[in-house]
Amino acid sequence: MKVLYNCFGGSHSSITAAAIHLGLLPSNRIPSNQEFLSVPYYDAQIAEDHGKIRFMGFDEHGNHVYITSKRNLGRHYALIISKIANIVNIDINEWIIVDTMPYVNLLMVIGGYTSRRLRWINIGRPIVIYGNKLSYFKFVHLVENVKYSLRRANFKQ
Amino acid sequence: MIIIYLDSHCCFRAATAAALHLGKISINNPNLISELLHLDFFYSGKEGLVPGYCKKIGNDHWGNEIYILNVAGEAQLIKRSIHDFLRLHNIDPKVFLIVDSCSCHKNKLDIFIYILLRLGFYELAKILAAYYQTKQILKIQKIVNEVIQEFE
Repeated sequence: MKVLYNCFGGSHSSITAAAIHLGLLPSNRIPSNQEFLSVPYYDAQIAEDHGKIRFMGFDEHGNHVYITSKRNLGRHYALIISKIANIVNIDINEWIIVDTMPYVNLLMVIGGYTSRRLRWINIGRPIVIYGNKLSYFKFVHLVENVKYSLRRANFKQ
Repeated sequence: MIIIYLDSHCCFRAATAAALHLGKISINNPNLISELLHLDFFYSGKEGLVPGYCKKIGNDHWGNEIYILNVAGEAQLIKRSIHDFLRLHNIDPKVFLIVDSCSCHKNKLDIFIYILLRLGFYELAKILAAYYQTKQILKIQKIVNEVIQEFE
């Protein structure tokens, strides 16, 4: 199975969820700033990277984990990808496309915009990390739900 | 090859481009508005307002499949995603030719048509969109010519 975490810019919430999924970030405590920054692609993507599907790693069951950005497409991104999959006869049931935006708070939005769009990294980055910490266990819960879905899907196969 | 014309709300531009590609309309026709309005795929209704709306229009002379797809204006983003998605499945991205028809022109009329669609004035929006496409037909034809040149 393949998991695709997506968010607006592919820099913060999707990366956090993917990192929790892969064990790069802990699921039983809030990570430090350094731990966030040590995750690949965290607060790194720029506009030209939007849409690119980045491979993050394999989880403990061999599922592929990816991240991408979808800007304002919202839940329609998954629909667009499924339409493309239908055209070329790819089995979209192999994919779990997860929108992490519902778990993003205002501080993450402000910090992410400031850091990525305005390039005021010294101001935006601490704000987005702080916001990320506030919502951290929501991402942990999201990942637990995704892993449960993966277990069910693998069991059916 | 699969050719996808990308567009935003209701895909009027993409539908016009697809019609030109398939030779279903002619830019020299004095009744172009009427010709556009008579195309069954020119107007997609409420369904077309939703990003992800995808419709196969037909096959051209070279056997290429022509589609239109509503991507809410995020054409470059979707292009990158499609390329990466296909590569992950070991499919050559060159199988797809993705054409951004929503960047060819945007002005206040475009926004006005979108507002009309949102408010439910579908017939008025459709007529206005057909009129608007006739004003931009040369730009759309240019995009289509660039696509067709790949095969000639």
